[in-house]
Amino acid sequence: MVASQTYPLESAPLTGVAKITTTRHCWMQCRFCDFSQFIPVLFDTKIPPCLPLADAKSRLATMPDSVGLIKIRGGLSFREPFTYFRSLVRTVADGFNGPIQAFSPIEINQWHRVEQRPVRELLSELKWAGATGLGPGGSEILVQSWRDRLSPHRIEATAWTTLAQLGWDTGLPPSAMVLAGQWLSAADIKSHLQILSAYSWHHIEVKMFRSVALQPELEPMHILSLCHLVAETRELLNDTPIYVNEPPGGISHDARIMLTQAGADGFYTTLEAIEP
Amino acid sequence: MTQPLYWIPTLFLPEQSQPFYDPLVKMFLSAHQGRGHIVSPQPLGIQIPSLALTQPQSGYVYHVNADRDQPPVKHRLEITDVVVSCPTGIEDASLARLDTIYRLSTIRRITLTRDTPRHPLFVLSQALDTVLQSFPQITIGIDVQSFGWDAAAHFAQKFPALQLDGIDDNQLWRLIQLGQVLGRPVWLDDFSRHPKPLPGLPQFKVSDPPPIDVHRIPFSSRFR
Repeated sequence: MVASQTYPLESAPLTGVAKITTTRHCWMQCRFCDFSQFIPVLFDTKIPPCLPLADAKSRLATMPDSVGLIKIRGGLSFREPFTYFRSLVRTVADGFNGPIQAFSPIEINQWHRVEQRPVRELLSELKWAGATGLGPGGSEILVQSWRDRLSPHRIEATAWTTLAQLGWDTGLPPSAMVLAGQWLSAADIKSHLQILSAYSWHHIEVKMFRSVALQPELEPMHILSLCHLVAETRELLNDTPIYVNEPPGGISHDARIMLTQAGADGFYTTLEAIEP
Repeated sequence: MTQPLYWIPTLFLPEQSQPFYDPLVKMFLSAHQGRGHIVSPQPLGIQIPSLALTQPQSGYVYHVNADRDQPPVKHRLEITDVVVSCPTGIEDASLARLDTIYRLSTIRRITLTRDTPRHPLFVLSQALDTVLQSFPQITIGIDVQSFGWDAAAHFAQKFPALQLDGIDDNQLWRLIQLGQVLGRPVWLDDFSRHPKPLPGLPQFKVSDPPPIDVHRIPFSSRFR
């Protein structure tokens, strides 16, 4: 009966996530992103409006009960002011009792730069509106050579982590992410995890990368490599919960058991996507 | 040298359309560089490297699905390939069937299938361990279609002696990808013992960022 002791009997709990996208408009143009829409900001640019508050409210009312977490993303709009995003968080918090991960350091930095307001003030207003934590953002690879190659317009790794850590002061515990792509070498993953382990995080998300059209070099990670990555993360950040962010369509029960065995504490699966 | 993973492309000939067996088999073999395993209801008119019959017949390998077919228990059989659901305990009926065939014949290959997709991994792991230790001289494989690719990859890593069976042509890339992750070569094979190594999947390099030309404005290449 030695073999049965190493396998968990059940997989770690599955949390249903509702993703609220305020806008698809984004100027960052990260190479792995096929979700955002780039519109250059010129004199007469027509930037599409963000998700109307009334729409968010009506969609939230019909949301399934199994949703245990709401993630709000996509704040990189020059059209709406910060108060719009604050009101959106307020609207969501009025209709939902669970945790709300609102935005990430990327968006905080954008509002800080555009509206010239102190970061702590922005964070405490989000907290007042009802957010319970800062999200890990889209896909932060904290290794600078990869940032140069894939997402050169994101803020640098040190700025990102510093902004995230400010969340602890205002009661918005930050979370971080490990992007699981087959193109990351063992050394890249190790240096990314070492940067993460220098700070404290509410939880770590392992995001299963999905393949991007016309970019065969950016392939998703194999399940065995993913288990190895989760085990490595568990070893280095041994007291931080690890959640595996499932791709659209979910993963098999076997894969969940294998990842739980490697050290995952939970799974996030998207149940509802609210978009403009 | 790490143990290779073998890919045995298999053609199951249907009961009907018997006049078309020979051209079908020729086309199948030419599509797989002359290699491939044929499972047929009757002997064929042409000489092929690797053949098994779904009926017991002297001089031929008998391909038996122990869960579906009832092997004749009267006389001794020739060499057999057995497909059986993975025995998960001493009282499992498939274990009794496997034992019957083992006593009657020389088993060349055992392919284990998974009954239900929710069959727990720890039960399967123990079962595979037991089967591998019980028949060290027989090739043991698992049916990837019923096990699922995630469980198959896990067991291929855990038990290097295990083979992966039931892989279609359109799933071959998954086997090659698994071979690359495990660092094991993949060989095209059948039972004629003339394996041939298969090339790996193409690897693409993530390109470097474009150099910034400071003598032109704007600096960023995105806006040019």
